[in-house]
Amino acid sequence: MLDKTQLNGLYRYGLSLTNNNASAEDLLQSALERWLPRRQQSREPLPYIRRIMRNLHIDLCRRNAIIDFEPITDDTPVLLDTKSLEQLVIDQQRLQSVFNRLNSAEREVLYYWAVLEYTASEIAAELDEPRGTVLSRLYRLKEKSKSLAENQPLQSDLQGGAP
Amino acid sequence: MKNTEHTTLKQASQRFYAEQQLPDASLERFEHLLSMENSETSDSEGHPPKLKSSRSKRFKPDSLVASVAAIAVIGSIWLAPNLSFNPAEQPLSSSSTMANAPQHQQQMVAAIAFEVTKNHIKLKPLEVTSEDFNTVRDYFTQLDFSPQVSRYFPLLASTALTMTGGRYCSIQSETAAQLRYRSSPEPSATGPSAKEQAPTEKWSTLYQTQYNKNTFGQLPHIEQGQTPIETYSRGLKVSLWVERQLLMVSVEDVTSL
Repeated sequence: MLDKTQLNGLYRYGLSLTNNNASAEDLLQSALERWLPRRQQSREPLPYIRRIMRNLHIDLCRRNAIIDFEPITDDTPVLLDTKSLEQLVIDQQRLQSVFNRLNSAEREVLYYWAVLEYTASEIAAELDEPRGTVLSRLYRLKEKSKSLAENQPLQSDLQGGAP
Repeated sequence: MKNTEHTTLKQASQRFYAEQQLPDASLERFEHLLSMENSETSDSEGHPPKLKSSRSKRFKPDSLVASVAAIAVIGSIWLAPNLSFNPAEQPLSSSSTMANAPQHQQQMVAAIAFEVTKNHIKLKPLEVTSEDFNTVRDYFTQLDFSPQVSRYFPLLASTALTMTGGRYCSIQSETAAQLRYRSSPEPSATGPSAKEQAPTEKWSTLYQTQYNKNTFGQLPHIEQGQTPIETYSRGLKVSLWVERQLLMVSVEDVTSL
């Protein structure tokens, strides 16, 4: 039904949403329990299970009043050229700091872009969101990563944001 | 001076995620979950189950079950008003205080038992792991109460219990603490009629939440000498009582008793 590689892949996706190993495991378990009774309905289980995981995670964030999928406004800058993101260099040891700085939505698009190697259009189609929203998230994650890569505090840090 | 290894964000992310693996025990648990569901809900050719196929082990509130429950309720009201109706798998024990309890109270107990056994069977990952109660208690900072060491809970088990950790959960939508314990049955301590048991680990779960009479109804208070309610759901023994103004619900694998 699902092999170890697929289970680990889903777990990693959960990790991109939650940024926490135990929560990712928990999320995967809940998603599998929901998927199993209706697995005959889904031709491609992986995108289907990822969708369940995403919805469960959003529900949890709402319940805990965590704003982890902040709305994208019209004036939010978008990533015009993915080449700049491709070329962004970072110290491997600072990656966890980058993840800590990103919200769920940004980590999620990073996962799709870097690990699954989806394009912005493919990510938008998978998440059922406008391409512009995905580009905005890519822009934000690039800016945050760049800031950390250059060892510069973000504006939000100067204003007392998350460390 | 720190060693630094510069790479692109994409490669660093790929490497990071490639290193992330489910622990072996979790992987086994997921595979077991998948294989169990597969064997219970599909025929040999992988088709969805037909109505007459073997029932899933999990209770599903479908129309058939609802109809049976409704008939049982009506039957209990019209035919035997003094008999207790319990939607759980077995009637309440004679020592419980529920035999003459109102219908809605019995239904509440059954609903709680059903909910906690579902959680118990899932064995979801612990959010805090420790054998020290105080460490586990300190983790629960989001509760409106402080989890307490129960004086009654250890008496339920025939062997010593070791705390393994806890996690947040809910009982009837009330936020609760789920405390998990491990017991290793001793082969010689299972009683005269008991069969030899394999020395495998058994799990007990103790749920604690703030007791609210309006929500949970009248339940036995252990400090007043009242007997805890004992019932069964999904083949597991469930005990309910109020201790230190906390509703405590324990779930144990019945074979470990």
